[in-house]
Amino acid sequence: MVHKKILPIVFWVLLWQAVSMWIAQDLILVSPCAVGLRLLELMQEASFWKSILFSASRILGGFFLAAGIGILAAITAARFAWCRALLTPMTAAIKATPVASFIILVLFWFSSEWLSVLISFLMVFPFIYANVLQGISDMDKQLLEMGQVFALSYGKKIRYLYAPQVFPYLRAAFATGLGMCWKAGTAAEVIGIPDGSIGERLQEAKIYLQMPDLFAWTVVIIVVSLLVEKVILWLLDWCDRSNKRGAFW
Amino acid sequence: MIRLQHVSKQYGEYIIFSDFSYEIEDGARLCIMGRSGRGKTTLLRMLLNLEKPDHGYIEGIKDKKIRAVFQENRLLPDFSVRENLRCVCRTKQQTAQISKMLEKLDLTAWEHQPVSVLSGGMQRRIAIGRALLAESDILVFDEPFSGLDLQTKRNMVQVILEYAKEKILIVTTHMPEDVALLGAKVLQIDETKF
Repeated sequence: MVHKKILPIVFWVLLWQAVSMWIAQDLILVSPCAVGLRLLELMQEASFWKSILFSASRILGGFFLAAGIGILAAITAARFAWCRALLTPMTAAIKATPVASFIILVLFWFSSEWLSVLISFLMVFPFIYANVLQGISDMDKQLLEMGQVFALSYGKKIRYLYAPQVFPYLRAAFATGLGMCWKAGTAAEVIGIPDGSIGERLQEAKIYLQMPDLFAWTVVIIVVSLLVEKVILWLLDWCDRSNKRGAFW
Repeated sequence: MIRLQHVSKQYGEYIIFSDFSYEIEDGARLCIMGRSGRGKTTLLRMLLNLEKPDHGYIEGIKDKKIRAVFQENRLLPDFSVRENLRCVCRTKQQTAQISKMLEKLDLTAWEHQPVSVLSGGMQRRIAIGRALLAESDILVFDEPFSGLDLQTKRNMVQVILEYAKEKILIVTTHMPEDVALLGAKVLQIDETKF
C-alpha cells in the first residue's frame, strides 16, 4: 500500500533529477538535491517558520471563515427561498470571477496583510455553500418524516438526520476548498507581497533569480497544504465517526 | 377516541376514500385489512398527520403522541442499534429501558453494530422496538411483520401487546392470522370507496 504511494513519487523525483542534470543549468531547472539542501538551510532560520505561520494562519483563517459562513448561508438558503435567490447569483459571480481581479480589488480596499484571508474566503465560500445546500436538498424525505412522527428535537434532527447525510457533501467541499485556498492564497501573497509571508519569499526568489529558493518554497507550500488537508479531513472523519458512535452525547 | 368524519382522499383521478367515517375506541386494537393499493397506508399517513384528507376531518389525534412503524424501516443506517433506539428517547427513564427492549427484541448481541449490516428481519425488529420505546398514546404499524418468520412474529406480537397496553394500536396487514395473534378488530377498507 505504502509502496503504491511512494514509488510514483520516487519516479517523478528521479525524472526531475535526470532532466535537471541533462539541462545542467540551475537557473532553468534546479535539481531536487539542490532544493533539498536549500530547504534544510531555510529550516534553520526562524523567519522560515514565521513565514509559514503567517501565511497558514491567514489562509486557514479565510478557509474556516468561509466554512462557517458557508454552512450558515446554506442552512438559511435551504430554509428560505428568498435567501437562496439572493445568494445563487452572488456565488455564481464569485466562482466565475478571476482570482486576479479579486486580488487587485482587495489591494485597493484593504491592507495587503489581510489579503490572503479574503482571497481564501472568496475561493472557498461558494464551494462550501453549494455543497452543503445540495446535501440538505438531497435529504432523505422518508427519514425527515420519521423525525417528524417521532417529534425529534432540533438537536436530534441535526445529529441523527442532517449531519450524517450532509457530511459527505461537506467533506468533498473541504477537500476541494483546502487545495484551492492554498493556491489562491499564495498567489494573492505573491501579488500583494505582505511582509513576512510565503508569497513575499516567492517574490524575492523571482526577483533575485534564486531558483533553489523558489522550488524550496513551492515544496513547502505543497507539503503544508497536504498535511493540513490530511489533518482537517481526519478530524472531520473523526467527528462523523464519533457522532455515529454516540461518543459526543 | 379517534373519529374519522366524512374523510375523502384521492390522488388524481384515483379515489382512495370517499365520505369515509369510522371510530376507534380508546385502548382498541385494530387491524386494517384490504388489498394492495386500497389505501391502508394512506389512512395511516393521515392519522400520522403526514397527509391531509381532501375533505372531512379526523378528531382525537391533535396533541396525541402517535408513533409509527413505517412500511419501510426508516432507520438510521450508519448508527448502531442502540443509537437507533436512543434517538427517540426523551427522558432518562426511557433511555434506561433500551437494554430491556434490546433483550426483548433479541438484539443485545448486536447493540453496537451499525444497523446497515443487519438482516431485514433484524431491522424490522428495531423499527418495532423504536416505536414501542418512544413515548406514545397511539401506535400505528404499517405491515410490521413483513420479513419476519412465524416464531419471530409471535415473539414480536407478545412484545407489542406488552408495550401497547391501554394505547390505541392500529396495524395494517394482509394476514388473517395477525388479527388472531393481536386479538384485534378488523377494518376492511376495500368497501370504503366507490
